[in-house]
Amino acid sequence: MMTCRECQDEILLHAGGGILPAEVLQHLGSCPECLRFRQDVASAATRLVDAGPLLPDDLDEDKFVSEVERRLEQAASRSQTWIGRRRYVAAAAAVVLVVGASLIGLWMARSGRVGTAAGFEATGATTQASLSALFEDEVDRFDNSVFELILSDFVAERHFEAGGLLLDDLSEEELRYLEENFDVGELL
Amino acid sequence: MLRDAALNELVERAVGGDKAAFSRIVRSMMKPVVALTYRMTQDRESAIDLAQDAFVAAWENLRSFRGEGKFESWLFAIASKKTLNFLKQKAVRRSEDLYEDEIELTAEGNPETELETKSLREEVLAFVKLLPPRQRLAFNLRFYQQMPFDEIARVTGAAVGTVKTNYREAVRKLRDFALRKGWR
Repeated sequence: MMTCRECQDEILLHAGGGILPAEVLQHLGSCPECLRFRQDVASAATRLVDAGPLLPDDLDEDKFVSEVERRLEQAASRSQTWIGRRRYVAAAAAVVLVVGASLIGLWMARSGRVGTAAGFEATGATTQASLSALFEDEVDRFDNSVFELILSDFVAERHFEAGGLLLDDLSEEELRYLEENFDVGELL
Repeated sequence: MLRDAALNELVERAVGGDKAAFSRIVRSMMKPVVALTYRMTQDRESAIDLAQDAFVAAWENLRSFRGEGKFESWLFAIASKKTLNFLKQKAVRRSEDLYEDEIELTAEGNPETELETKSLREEVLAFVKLLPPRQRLAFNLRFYQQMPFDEIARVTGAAVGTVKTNYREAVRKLRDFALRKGWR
């Protein structure tokens, strides 16, 4: 048998609508207190319905919709601006990275932290001289940063240990050029 | 409001980027959303602003609406969260009373009925403002939007039991309020 508390809890839960469970109805049939409770809740709920949906006065639909559209445009242009900015930021970051890496490389080469004795000895004076002479023209001709790096390392009298790993980045023409003009084994 | 099928079709088009379809959704759903934010905040400007923000957020997150629940519920969830945050912020910085704002209500018809309706609405708003935000939200979504408890739980992120408790407490207060006011 349902208690008054359980019955009243169910009445409260069903205040917005819905059918009361059979056992609640059964309890109501024999409990005047819960019946009165139900009537109180029902009349309070009815007053709320009578009061209507409670919209603010003078809600202008057209104005509302056009304001939403304006905000959407604003949000879209903000997002476009950000995408545009991101492009510039990415480009700037790439430039900073390249310049930074170059400066560090230069500093390391000058301070003798890399490419010291072993690399130096591996470079032949003749090859270096011919390379120095060819360097500028060939860099323009091949337009390959790896190729350029190998040549510049060589000109700077640094032993280019990573050269072997980067050979894949050289075109056949570039490889042929190196083989024809230099002792590649010595170079790398 | 649009029928479900028509609304679903508009939602699908809007998900595909059709802004005109979304504007139709806004036009169709604005009243219930504003009604919700207004009952929650009881401030005209804030209610309209929050409802508009909710629509903008809905547009920006349309792709995350996977059609698992009803679009209305999803939209009410966005509006509810925005409104709860607003009330929370307002409560933090409040030194003045939020509800001191002038209440303007629509009342049409003959002057007597108009006066009576206006007075009733003011009383209803006075009752709603007695409720803590969570009870207010549960009450609004259940009583006015007729949302099932499990759906309210989903959109508010609360347990079903908590939602029921909040709603029950809100209705209990409504009954007490009605008795005090002599509503019959």
